[in-house]
Amino acid sequence: MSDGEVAPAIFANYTHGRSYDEMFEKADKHRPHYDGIHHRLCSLPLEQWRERQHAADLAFVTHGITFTVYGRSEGVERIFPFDLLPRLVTAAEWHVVERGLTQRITALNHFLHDVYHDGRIFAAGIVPRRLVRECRHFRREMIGVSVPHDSYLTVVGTDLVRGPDGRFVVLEDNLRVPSGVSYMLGNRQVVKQVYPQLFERYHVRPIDHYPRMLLAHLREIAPAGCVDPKIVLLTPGVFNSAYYEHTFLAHEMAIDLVEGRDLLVHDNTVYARTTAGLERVDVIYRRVDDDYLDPLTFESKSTLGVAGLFNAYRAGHVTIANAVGTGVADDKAVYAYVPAMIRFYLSEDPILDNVQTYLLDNPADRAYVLDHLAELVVKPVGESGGYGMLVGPHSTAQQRSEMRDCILANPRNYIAQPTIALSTAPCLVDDGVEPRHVDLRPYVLCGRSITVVPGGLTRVALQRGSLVVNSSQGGGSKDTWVLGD
Amino acid sequence: MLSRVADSLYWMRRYVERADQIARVVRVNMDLAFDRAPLEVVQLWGRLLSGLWSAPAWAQVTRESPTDALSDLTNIDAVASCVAAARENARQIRQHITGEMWDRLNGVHLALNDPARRAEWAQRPHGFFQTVREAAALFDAAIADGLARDEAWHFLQLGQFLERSASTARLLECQLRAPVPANESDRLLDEQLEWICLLRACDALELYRRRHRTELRPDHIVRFLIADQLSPRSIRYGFDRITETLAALAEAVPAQPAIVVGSALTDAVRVLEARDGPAVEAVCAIQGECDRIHRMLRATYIDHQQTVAPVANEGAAWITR
Repeated sequence: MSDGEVAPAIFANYTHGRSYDEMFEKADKHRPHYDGIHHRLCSLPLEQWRERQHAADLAFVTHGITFTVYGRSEGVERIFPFDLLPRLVTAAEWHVVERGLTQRITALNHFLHDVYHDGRIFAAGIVPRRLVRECRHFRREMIGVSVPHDSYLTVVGTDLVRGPDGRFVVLEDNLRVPSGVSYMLGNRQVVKQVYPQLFERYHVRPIDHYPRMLLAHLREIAPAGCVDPKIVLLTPGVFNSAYYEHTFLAHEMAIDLVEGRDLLVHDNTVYARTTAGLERVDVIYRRVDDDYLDPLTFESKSTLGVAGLFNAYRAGHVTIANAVGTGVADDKAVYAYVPAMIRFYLSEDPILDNVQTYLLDNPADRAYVLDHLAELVVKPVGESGGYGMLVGPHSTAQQRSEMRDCILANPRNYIAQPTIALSTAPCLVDDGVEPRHVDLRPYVLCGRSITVVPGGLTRVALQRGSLVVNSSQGGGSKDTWVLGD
Repeated sequence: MLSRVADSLYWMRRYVERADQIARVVRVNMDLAFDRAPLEVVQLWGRLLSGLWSAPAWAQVTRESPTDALSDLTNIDAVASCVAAARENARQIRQHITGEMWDRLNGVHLALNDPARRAEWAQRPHGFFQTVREAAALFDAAIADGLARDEAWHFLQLGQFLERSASTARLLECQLRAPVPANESDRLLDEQLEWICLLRACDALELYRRRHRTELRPDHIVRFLIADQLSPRSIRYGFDRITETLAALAEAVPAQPAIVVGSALTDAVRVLEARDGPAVEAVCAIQGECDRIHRMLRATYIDHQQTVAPVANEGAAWITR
């Protein structure tokens, strides 16, 4: 479609707001890299799009690619809603993301080592020591503990959003047990399966090697002197929301998927219970939070972990990835200091910016936020998955008043950010194509080197106008295509 | 292999076998029920299902709504819950089974919980039995063609044949304990029907006919179900597979002591051939041996205790996880 031509019926309800739109530059002009997709949308009847969308949904059900929703009836399995239209990122845009993430994660890794060792950044007055010590995910037990190659972060899923100017900014860092990578891979498989022709005009960078890359990075961080490490994936079990992902990754890496009850610690060494007896374990890719890893050190009532695991870890007999205590660096209040960390540790300017963040234990910030609750997004600092947050413009007076009470009761527990008009991408809806808000979670693997996987999970707020993309809050996802040069 | 994985493989296969077995027993009895007076039907259900279902569950089965007890997911003994249990085990070990195996189990699980299908089956129950039968057969085929004959396969074999041998022995026991009707002419006809029923419940009627032509004699049927070497539905066939598999498993996992199958089956065969003592006791002893092998398996490969004393079969409690 060239300028001035009448938009086809499929776009009849496509509204253009102040958000950056991934496909349309202006109401009547699409971005050049969306040529192929746009052409398909104009030429294939809506009915056939629906059929393909249906085939895609069916593929997720029959493959059992599900997640579990908490808080409703126990253990409801659902498919993660999927939108067939891929989200495109150009090679030039990706280049910035890749460099920016590498820089950011390098700095965060330095920060973690510093927090648990010398505390140089505190001494320099860049980050308040108190802020870190008060963080719920700070692990006193990790002070002075060495991890192989000083590598704290093995898998990172950083949430990026695009503001109205089209630039990617970092919304949050997920440094504990980020999930969703199986959907990134599953989405690609399903698009290939139900609509291979979509790829025709594109050079899409592959992501299928993710499990192999992850395994390679896990091998790199095995305890010193370990030649052929035994690597396992530790899952909380079948009721965890990401259980499908755990089975998928273990299968793809051909490693054992273990639960806490499959492991035991003897003489500071971790063993798996196998049919042949006990087998030594060297690296644990854990998908269990710190709190539940070891009932002797952390949450004593936990049945998910392994008694004595932390001692074996501290003795250097087993590697746990991500390292224990990384949550201190993805605390949403600590997040505000990441640009300063980049300058401090790397003497570089940040390539990817943060979203402006108000720290609510700062009296001036707090006063401003309490006056402007209806415009801001307020988040608890230690939560993930969109639980417990307030989206000001979409909130009721009662929700705001409750949030005000929460903030006043425990200001350190909250941060506030301006409501960002997340970018929109075209999505198939009942009677055509409409814009929906999206974010982007690329996955980064670290060991001795850093690998940014060219792609990621594009999460979609499926409700018209909604800004909440979390799967636990009714969001969906799309395949993400990073285009080659 | 992780002990928990071995355990799940074993239980997954047992539950599929059990779902198939229950569906078959119920189907046979529904057919037979149409030839009987309602009171007798309830007795018949009670007898043939008492080994498979707990008493309260079968007591609710009536001629009017025979499928209710089946399609009720909350009834832990019903087919759907066996399939759900098999699928739940499969879900925990998806990396160790093939996609095909998962698809079969997941497919039948979704079908059994689909309201439209349930409504249809309430009218035409045979569709239900057909669905279960086909899913079990395709699941078997997926195992047979999709898996290497390694440790995982051994645990699947053991699950299948321990479940099958135990349930055949149990059905036999129920039939052998059945009261004999007082009326002589009824007796012959009823007996014929019930023994045919037993063979069909064990999926062995056609096998029996080919081996014994038309002659339908209770003593032949008992011997056939226990001792026939060539029919895959006989207990001996099952025990031969169990014996082979235990040996193969001992070879695959040399660190653990081998489990040796006891003499219950050979004792039973001797009793039958010499007509020396009641068959029902021999059949009970076979069930006891299945139970002992099950416990040894757990102790050796799953729980890592070295020995477990053999236990007598008391009251034949149905083994569930």
